[in-house]
Amino acid sequence: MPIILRLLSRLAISLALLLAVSIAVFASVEILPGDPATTILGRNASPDRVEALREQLGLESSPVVRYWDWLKSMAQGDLGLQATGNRSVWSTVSTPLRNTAILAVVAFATTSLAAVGGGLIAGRRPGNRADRALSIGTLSIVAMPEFVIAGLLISLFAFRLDWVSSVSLVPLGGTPLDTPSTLILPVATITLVAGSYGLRLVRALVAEASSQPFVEAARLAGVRETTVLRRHLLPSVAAPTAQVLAFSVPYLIGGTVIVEQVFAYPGLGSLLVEQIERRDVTVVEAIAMIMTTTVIAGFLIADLLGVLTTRHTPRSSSRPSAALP
Amino acid sequence: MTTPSLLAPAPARSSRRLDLTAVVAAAILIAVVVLAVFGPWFAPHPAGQTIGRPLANTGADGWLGTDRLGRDVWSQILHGGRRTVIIPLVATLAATVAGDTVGLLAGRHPRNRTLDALLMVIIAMPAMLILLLLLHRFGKSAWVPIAAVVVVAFPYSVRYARSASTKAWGSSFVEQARLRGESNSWILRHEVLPNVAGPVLSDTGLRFTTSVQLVTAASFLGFGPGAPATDWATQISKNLDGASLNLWAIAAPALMIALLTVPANLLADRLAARIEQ
Repeated sequence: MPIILRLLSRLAISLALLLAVSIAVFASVEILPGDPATTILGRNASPDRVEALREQLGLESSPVVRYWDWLKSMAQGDLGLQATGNRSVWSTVSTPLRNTAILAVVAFATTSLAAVGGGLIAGRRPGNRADRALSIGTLSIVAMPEFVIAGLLISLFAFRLDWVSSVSLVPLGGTPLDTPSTLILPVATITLVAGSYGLRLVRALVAEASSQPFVEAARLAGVRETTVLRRHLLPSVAAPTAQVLAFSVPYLIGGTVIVEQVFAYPGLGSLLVEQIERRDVTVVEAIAMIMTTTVIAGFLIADLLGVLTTRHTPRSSSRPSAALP
Repeated sequence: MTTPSLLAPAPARSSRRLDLTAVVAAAILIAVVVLAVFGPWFAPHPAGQTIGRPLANTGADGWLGTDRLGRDVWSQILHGGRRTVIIPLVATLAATVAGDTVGLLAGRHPRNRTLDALLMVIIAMPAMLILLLLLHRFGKSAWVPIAAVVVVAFPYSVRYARSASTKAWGSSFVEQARLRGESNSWILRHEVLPNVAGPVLSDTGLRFTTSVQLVTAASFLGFGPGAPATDWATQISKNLDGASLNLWAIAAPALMIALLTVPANLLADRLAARIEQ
């Protein structure tokens, strides 16, 4: 198949997936048993008020019609009005989205560094001491819930050593970049989690590459280790490594709910938790769609990287399929 | 047998040699589970009882001090273990039964586009989002995180059990059984299941960690049990604010969760590696 057709088909699959996910999100928020109007107002609300809110939310029409209307406005970038209050959803979502994006960009840089650097160290000589230590270390880190890692980091660095603050206080109207120190512990937590996943995947790629005949031959020929790394190992793992890193992007946007909550970081995850407690249907739907769109975009980028680079790499069998939880 | 090569990577350590990491991990895991299950019987104070001033340091009021409400941290740990261990265990079992049943059956016809599409939709939604949407819809209950674990783990269990069983379904034993006129369910129970039991078991071990992560996340976000009932994640989230005064109020439950999940994950990984050999 010509490459352009393959790209287009991947794009079509992603769009179909996004559509399917939008149905799942809409269904789980509005169609599953229970009524948003009563959940918002509470069980003791008067029937009149429930009726009024049902009308405001448009719950009287059929689910298919409601879904279609919702999808149309979403597609036009109109996230609608909040279910509880009269602000537009976008004005509620935009600042937390920016804060999460800032956290994600910084954490992506540190995660990539940890995954690639650690993966090279561990996979260069499979089975040696560094490899075994990193294997046990990363297995231990990915086993821990994020708030446990964060809790241990806070205990040590914020309370025992008093080096950093345990909460990310962002000045009113400012951005987290105004006080970069608030980013240290959240970024460290995310890097430990996502970096460990990435490290294990990159390590597998490097280990596979370093057992290949041309690498062994180069080493036997007495080529310096840094040259082996630069000339042979890095080029053959570059493409699948880029895929591994692309797979970590969804986690950085959709998976950091807990980390934001621990450090009271004013991002999308904190907003989602807050709005779920407030039972605001429209905001929850909007955040859910933003998060899943990022996941699918991450998958798509990884997929496209795979399509674009398969011609240059001899084997594409090592395509990573592991996604972060 | 292939001839051993001088160039081959260092061989995995002999399986006959005692694996020190695995032994230590197993000992820790057993100790934590015993502590969690029998802890309430040995707790110095009843669950939720105030014994002194809030966030007192270690020493005078219990060896780990007191929490935000003046409760003995050590007693709270002993009372909170059962939920932290048992709910994820139930969730893992439920997820294994659901995912592996579908996966083993799907192994007969591995190319099923409808199933693949369904799995992809679930994978595309972040686990925390699925958990929060379910909490949003069904509110505070231990069953919600269990349901979330079943949904989140489903695609991975199905794919794993499907690929493990595809070979078994196509094997000559199955062919013979079919010629003998055995039913599909007989074949599944007697020919397929014994062949995939090992891999599926090791996959279940790895799922346990994911279960703990999701279930404790729900508690951490405030959807845990109501007082005086408690679990380790709830203790961390409730004490984050004051923990600068007595950091054991969060460090102790955090260490307990780590001592539960880290050995479990290391053991499951060793088991999976051994079965793969």
